[in-house]
Amino acid sequence: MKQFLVLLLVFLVPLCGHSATAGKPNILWLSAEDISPNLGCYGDSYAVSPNVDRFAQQGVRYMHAYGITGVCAPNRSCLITGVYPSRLGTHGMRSTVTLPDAVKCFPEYLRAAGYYCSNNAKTDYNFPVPKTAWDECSRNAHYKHRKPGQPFFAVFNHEVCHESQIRVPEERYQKNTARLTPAQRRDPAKAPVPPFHPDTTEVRRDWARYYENITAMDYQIGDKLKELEDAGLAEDTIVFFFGDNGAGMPGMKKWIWEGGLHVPLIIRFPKKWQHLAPGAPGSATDRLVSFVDFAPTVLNLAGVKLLPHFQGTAFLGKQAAKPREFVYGIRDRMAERLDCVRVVRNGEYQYIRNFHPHLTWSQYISYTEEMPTMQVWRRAAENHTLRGPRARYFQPRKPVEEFYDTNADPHQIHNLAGDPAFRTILEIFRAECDRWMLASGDLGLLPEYELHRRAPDGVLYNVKENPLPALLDAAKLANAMKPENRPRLVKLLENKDPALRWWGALGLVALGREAKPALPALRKALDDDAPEVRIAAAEAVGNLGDDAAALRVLTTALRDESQFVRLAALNVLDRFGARAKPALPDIRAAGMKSKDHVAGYVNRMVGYMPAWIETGKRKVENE
Amino acid sequence: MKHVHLLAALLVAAAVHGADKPNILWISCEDTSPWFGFCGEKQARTPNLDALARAGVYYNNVFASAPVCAPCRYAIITGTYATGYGTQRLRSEFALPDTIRGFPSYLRQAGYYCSNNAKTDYNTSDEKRLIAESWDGCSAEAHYKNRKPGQPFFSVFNFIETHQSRVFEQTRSPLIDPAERHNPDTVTLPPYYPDTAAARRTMARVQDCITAVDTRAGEILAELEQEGLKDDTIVFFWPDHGQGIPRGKRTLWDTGLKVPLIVYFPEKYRHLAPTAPGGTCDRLVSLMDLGPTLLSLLGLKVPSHMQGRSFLGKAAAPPREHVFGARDRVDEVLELSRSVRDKRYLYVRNFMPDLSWNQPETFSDQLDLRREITQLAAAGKLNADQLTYAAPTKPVEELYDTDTDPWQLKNLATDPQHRSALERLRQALRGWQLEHRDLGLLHEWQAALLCAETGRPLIEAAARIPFERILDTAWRVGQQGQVGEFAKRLGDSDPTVRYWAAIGLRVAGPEAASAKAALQKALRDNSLPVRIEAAGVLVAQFDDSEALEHLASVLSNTDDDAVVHAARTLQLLGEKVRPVLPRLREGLLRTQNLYARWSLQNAIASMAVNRLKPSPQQRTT
Repeated sequence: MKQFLVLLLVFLVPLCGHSATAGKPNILWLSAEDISPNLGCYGDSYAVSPNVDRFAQQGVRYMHAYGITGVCAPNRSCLITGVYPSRLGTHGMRSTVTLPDAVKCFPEYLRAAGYYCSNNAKTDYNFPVPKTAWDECSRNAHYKHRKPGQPFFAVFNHEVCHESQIRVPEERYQKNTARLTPAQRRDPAKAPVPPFHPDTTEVRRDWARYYENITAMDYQIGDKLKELEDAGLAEDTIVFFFGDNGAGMPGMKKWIWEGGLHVPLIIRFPKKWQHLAPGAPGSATDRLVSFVDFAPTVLNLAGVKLLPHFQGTAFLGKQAAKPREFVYGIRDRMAERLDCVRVVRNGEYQYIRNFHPHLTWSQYISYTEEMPTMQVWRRAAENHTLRGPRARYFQPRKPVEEFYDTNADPHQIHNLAGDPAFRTILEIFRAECDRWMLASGDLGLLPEYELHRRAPDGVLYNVKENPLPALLDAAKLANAMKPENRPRLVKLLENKDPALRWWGALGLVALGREAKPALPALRKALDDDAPEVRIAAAEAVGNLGDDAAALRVLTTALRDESQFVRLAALNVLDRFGARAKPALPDIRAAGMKSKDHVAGYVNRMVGYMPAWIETGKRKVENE
Repeated sequence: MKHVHLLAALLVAAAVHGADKPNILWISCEDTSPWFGFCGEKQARTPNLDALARAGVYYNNVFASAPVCAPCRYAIITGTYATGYGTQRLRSEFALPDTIRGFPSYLRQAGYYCSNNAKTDYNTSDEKRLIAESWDGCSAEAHYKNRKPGQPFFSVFNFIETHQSRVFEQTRSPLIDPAERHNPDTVTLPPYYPDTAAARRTMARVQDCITAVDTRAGEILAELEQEGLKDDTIVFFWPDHGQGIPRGKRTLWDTGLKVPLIVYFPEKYRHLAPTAPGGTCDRLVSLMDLGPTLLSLLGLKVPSHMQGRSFLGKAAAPPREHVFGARDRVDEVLELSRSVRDKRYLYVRNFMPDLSWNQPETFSDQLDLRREITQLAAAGKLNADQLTYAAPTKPVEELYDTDTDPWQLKNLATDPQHRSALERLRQALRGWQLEHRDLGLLHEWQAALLCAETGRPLIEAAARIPFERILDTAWRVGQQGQVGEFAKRLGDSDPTVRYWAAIGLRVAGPEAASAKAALQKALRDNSLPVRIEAAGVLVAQFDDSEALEHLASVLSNTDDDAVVHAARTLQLLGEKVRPVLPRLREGLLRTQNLYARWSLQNAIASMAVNRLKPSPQQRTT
């Protein structure tokens, strides 16, 4: 009998060691910062990524996986909630937003279903991390801390490939990449510099370092996979490998072309869940997936019922949804710079609508300017030596719409929005962009101060006054930059909704000198109740010749208690450049004590703007 | 002695600028039908040209020889049929015999200063020669002010405000007095347009453009008067062909070919006018008659090679009985139709009746209205009048009695009451094609080959081709019971006969099944157009993958004509070419030819659109 019991134990113990109960897979997320699909298994011959390549042989590569925007925090807010950042109000990089009660971080639903949820360790959700989201959230968080037999959802994030690590000093860099063999080091002379970057030693060095950092990350991925194997859990765990946004290089991260949105995604299914895979091990799928689908997908794999507030759909598991026709993207405030862009993409074409076409692609963002490639690029632009695709980023304005055939034009250099052959398909995408903005409850057409003002208890999700049809019409009137729209823009200045007045003012800013007949109305708007309307009107009035009146409004705004108002005013003053000289004392005094992100951006601008206004040149770090 | 010299000088001056050397001023514009006030169009606001017509003669039976600019302007500058010389497509670069000269060169020989401001577009590789021999000045600054004192002049001012592209809403609206703008809500629409917002905006815009041209014309006329030249200058006003909107430009109805012509005769030349000032002349005139007419007006010899007929002056020919029209390839759109018109009837022979007049056309599809018409036609929402233009196919023959049916909506080709008119005009057309050797029947790849082989201009290089047999084959296209004959002619010794046999089988649709073997053999024909057409039929009727492969492989041919032809054929086959979609993408990356690119881009984009057709209601976020 004893022997039998021992035998029984011998069988039972290993069974207890397996954390998966019938039908409940473990799910492991291995995320990497700031990488585009620059991996061997994605066809990049310059990349060295043996562990991820081997992993891809065992799993399925998703060739069309997309983030919502080209930067981490808004993306992460979407990954963790299954709701678009533009719906939550987490679209600004960065923001501090309060979540509604109805929307939980999705691991909370897994926890309720018995999962052990650990996050190691980056959150950066643009909202405070609820204590109930994770069992463990730290640099020590690990699935090994779960109860025996408990299924787990574990996240491990890898930072060695983050953009900042491309430009760290040599000593730190060598430490980061210590595991690389000499053969794995990349020759900058052979780096695949994209046609929109200048070709210099600094740029090549940045690109080579980016690739070497990917190899360093690849080692770490190998470690995690081995750890899972050694723990005897590989056969019970569905593993995701993905990037949180595209390569941390200028024109890619922080923007929404392919370089910002397209990420690698590889999913490995153990044998018992192979039937859920879209293809055999080693295969690739063209199925379109978006970050907004990740939460519903994990919940569906875990057999957890989806709640109505999810805006994505499950792409795996029983009762997975039909494949998407489109993925969608956004690009709003990025650190200290304001913009508003919306994207619709399918497997072949990318459509971009620029709501602020009068603003250049290359607005100065101090964090991005730390990258040597950005410094070289901006210097070349200032010296007027850029030609062709390299010059485009520095054009003073953007087109209203962009349309790219991403197969024929992977670097998105040839804008087909004006090409008659693409008229019909452009109209389909244009209509789809409108439809999605309305259907998704997009809060991004409200300027930020106004958005926060309308939020009960600071919960932006619950804003009721978001008249999207009217806002969208106003935004499209404003961004068309057509002089014949001037009368209607002037009429918008009289609307009772401050957000609509703001679009009216913005549209007149975008008209430049053609706004001149609207000057009386714009002067009136300098006294508008809404600060953002006053600031936009000030920009228009200044550009039409009355800097004194403009600066009066802008310097007053610099004393507003709202960080959003100060930031908007600083943006306009920065564009004025030397014309803002009389406002220098006010700019210097506009710093804020608050620890909020946006106050931090105000302080950054206060730090670097005086030199720009006084000398007309941007100061370069380490110069 | 001095007095003698002075007298001689005076005599010479008198001779050079005497009563028989009037100045000639041409005011021309683009793409405009007889929709001016003086034509009887009530919604037009055209005071300057109305005044000119009241003071001059309005010719109300004038027709272009082609419904697009380049072939038409070729015919005007040379006085010859474009179809006879290979210059009937938009655009092409065939060479001309040295005997074909720009007619103003004869005026220059007679002492005239000739200026052209500024459009040429003569559609031949000899364009530079034509320009050099025709014009003393040819630019945006060309002007009679640059002539020698006392020199008679022939000056052309061309205005683009009514060009097709100016009707697109994407282009800047015409610069006219805002009070003169036409109201879309109150414009009248022709019966072949659905009553939609886009149609109304288009017609209002067209009339605004016409007003803009009238303003420009007024400026030129005022300047002429200020220069003190009004009494010595015969003024012509004419557009180059019909309105640049659907069922106008590019078609052979009156809406495509008919144009107004005003000729103003100052008093001293009034004896040359066919009517008193303010009168209307209904003599049948072709725009290619303008050159010979000027020569005749000025008492110069009209060269015998010119096929235009002068309608004024000493050497005026007897009035025409017929004008002829020709539509061939325009941009990427392959097509072939011919027309003949007398004063009452219009007869049209469509040699590619399987193609719609509203077939996809990159340039024209920039107009919202045209795309809307395409959608409405596909949804079955157009009436019979509207479908004369937008139906998916055309009749083989069309006959219109303009007396009773001015918009030419009722096709009488099968009406026994008009049988004799049909046969008479059919004969006239066929006879014209034969007499003047309609070389438009040659595919341009084949035409280019002939020129390359002989080193001669096309009219000479094609001297030996069996033209009657070619013409006979083309005339069988669309007729019943010809499939067997086409199958046989696919083996003819002449490549153009074989080409038309293939077209005939294409038009025959499913009936071509019995010619399958002959078509498959034709995949190895040594003439590319024959291979392409045969492959197209095999794909359309049999989903033949070998034929599809053949078509796709032509995309990597080095000859642009072949690539354009293959690309268009692939485009029109629609979803059937999805299996070779990657080859279309490769072709797009490879070819620099604009027309081929348009076809390939459209084909790829259309297939993408087809994939997106499910309704938006089914989409989530």
